[in-house]
Amino acid sequence: MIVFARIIIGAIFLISGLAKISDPVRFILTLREFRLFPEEIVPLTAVWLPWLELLLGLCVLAGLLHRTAALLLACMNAGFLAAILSVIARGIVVDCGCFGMLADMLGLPDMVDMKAVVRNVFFICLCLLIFFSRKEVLSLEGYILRVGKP
Amino acid sequence: MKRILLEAAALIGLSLVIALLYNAVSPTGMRLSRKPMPASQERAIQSR
Repeated sequence: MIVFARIIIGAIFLISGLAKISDPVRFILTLREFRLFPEEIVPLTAVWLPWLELLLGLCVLAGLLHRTAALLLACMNAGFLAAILSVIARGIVVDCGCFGMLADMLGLPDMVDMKAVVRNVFFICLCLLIFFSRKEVLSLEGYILRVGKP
Repeated sequence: MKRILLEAAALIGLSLVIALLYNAVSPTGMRLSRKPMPASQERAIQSR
């Protein structure tokens, strides 16, 4: 179960991070449309956030510092959820920007709506499940600890 | 708890360093220390 959750969360954030890294301008425009951040920090956020997603996704997938990575992803998703709820409350119609150009390529709907809220809550639950799990199954960290023992 | 905070700080710091390095060498990299410009102008610069 935990391995399954790790694969889902790891793959989703890995792909999402890669999609945003490949088109940073689009992500900047999306962040501007959200009207949440001061203009000065939008470029830095757009450059940094996809790499954080990518790194955390890799960690969760590989099982290296995966509990901490899952906790950070849960916090990040809580931030995304707050941003989405704020946009819905203000009645702004924008692209979610969650999967960057990938949503266009696959023809997936990527709007800010209640589906995005439910999806984020689901991701937060999975991340917390990984964080509170004590099992070290199929993880690089568990392997290193086992090899290190005499 | 302390270990988790240290690991979180390390992951955040590492991702920031990688992002800034990639942005510096990538052809689609952006200048981060300048006054904001209109989105259309930014898009035009990127497409050159």
